[in-house]
Amino acid sequence: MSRLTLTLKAHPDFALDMSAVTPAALLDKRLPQIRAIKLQHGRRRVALGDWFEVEGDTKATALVIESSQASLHRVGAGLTAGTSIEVHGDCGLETGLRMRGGVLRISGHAGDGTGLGMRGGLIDIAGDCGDFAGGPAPGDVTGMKNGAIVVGGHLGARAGERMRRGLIAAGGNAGAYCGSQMVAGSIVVLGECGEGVGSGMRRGSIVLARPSSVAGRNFVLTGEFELAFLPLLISYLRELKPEWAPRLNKLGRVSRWVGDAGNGGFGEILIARRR
Amino acid sequence: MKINGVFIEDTFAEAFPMKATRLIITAYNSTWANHAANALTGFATSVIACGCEASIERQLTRQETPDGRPGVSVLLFAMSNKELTKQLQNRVGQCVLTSPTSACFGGIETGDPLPLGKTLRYFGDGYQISKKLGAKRYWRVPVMDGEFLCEESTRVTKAVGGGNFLILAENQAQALKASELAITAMRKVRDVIMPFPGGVVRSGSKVGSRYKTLPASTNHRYCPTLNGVVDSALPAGVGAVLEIVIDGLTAPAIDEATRVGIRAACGLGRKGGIMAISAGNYGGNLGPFHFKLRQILK
Repeated sequence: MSRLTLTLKAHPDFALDMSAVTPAALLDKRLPQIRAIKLQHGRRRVALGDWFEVEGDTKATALVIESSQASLHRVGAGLTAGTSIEVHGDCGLETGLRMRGGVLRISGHAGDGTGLGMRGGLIDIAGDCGDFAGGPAPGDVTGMKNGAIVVGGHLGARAGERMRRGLIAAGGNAGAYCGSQMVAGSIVVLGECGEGVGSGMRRGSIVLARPSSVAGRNFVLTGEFELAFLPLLISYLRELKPEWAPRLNKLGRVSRWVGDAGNGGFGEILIARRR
Repeated sequence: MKINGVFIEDTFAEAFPMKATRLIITAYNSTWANHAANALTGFATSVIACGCEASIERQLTRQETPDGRPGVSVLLFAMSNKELTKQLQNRVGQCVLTSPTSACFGGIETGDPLPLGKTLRYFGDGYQISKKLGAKRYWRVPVMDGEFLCEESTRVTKAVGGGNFLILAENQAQALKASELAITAMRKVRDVIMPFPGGVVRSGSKVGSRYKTLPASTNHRYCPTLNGVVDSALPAGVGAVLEIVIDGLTAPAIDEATRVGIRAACGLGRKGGIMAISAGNYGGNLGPFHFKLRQILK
């Protein structure tokens, strides 16, 4: 597959805003034009070519960022369907901001605010993800409205806050207040979950592979079930992360807690029963 | 042309364009999936009075279903998208939603969407839950045994209805035996259904009637008890005729079903009482699809 490769030449000391760099924005531009694209670097505007070696097919819909660092913010912002970005290394804040489609794969970690205001597509992070994943973009009332954020490592605090639709899944642990004020959508955590999971949630599903303390809060235990939709969710996650298959297979029978009653909510926290 | 001594008439089956969809019904086990599918496809032999033609296409293994449970694939055919939509809502709502442990999914990936769970979800009275996984949306409707899971929509495709062939035998038992052999063979063909009871129809019809209110009436030219009284189409010695009607998602699928069905029916041979194979048509003026028996059997 043809691709355009950007290789970071040096480590930026502070934020380098990558929101102007998407396959759609670069499509059909010649290499000199691409090198001249302006990026916000702190208070200054710099040329992309000042920081990156650029090579490859300028007609490609696949973009590769080599030697990426956590100081690269807003990587994949506004990414659209039919395009992809593969990041070798880490990403900084607001990765995949308001992403609308396509695939963003990150081999390292992603910072806070990943997938804010996401509308579609897939963010696949091999490492950890910071706080507020899938939450509302600045100025928005609700969080992500579609798409999937799949995290191989740990999720930070307040993942899926006010999310409206879509999926967030983590192979590791999730921080505090996971799914707080969630409106709809699904969150799956295969590791431990921090305190306050589902606080204020109105609807939506939070699936936990390990026991979590829900009792005593505003959640009502409705019983233990084998829900018909779980095999579909498992099958979908298995496609996204085949290496999760052995752990996903343990999500059979679940305890179903409904709440947050303090918010008049009908959300659900599904906790896997040990087999 | 003869197969095993059975004369194959130089004629053709005349078929019509229809709209079709496939549903996948799953349940706790195969028995309950079949209960739901049998209810769904009940009273769906002919569009003349049933609204649609439907039947079980085949049994599905756990590996073939979306939720990994045993299942059944069902095909429904109707004359228009509107009628198919109505039939889907009524039949899935009354026969699948009501069946213990059942779930219902669309079985065709391309074509215009037809509402499935999109409308049935309202049975949940506000307690229903939407789940969007990738490009597909599902509805979880709370019911007394847990949840009814239903995909939001299925897809409609252009299809062909009314493929057929006639088995002309010396007596009823022989015609029935040949029909059973044909149906057993034809049920292995994908993308087709034989919607009549057991796949076989004994009341072949013609368009119109001497009674003005009836759109169809008995095909008197193929009734052995009228042989010699009317302008019968039956050769002397024919004591029973059974018809197998085939609806298919594609014309080649009907070709294949016709081929294996006739060959299986002819397995009994002339010595087994099977005298001829024919087909029903309207002179070729009504339906755009013509399935020529001798060409198919070459």
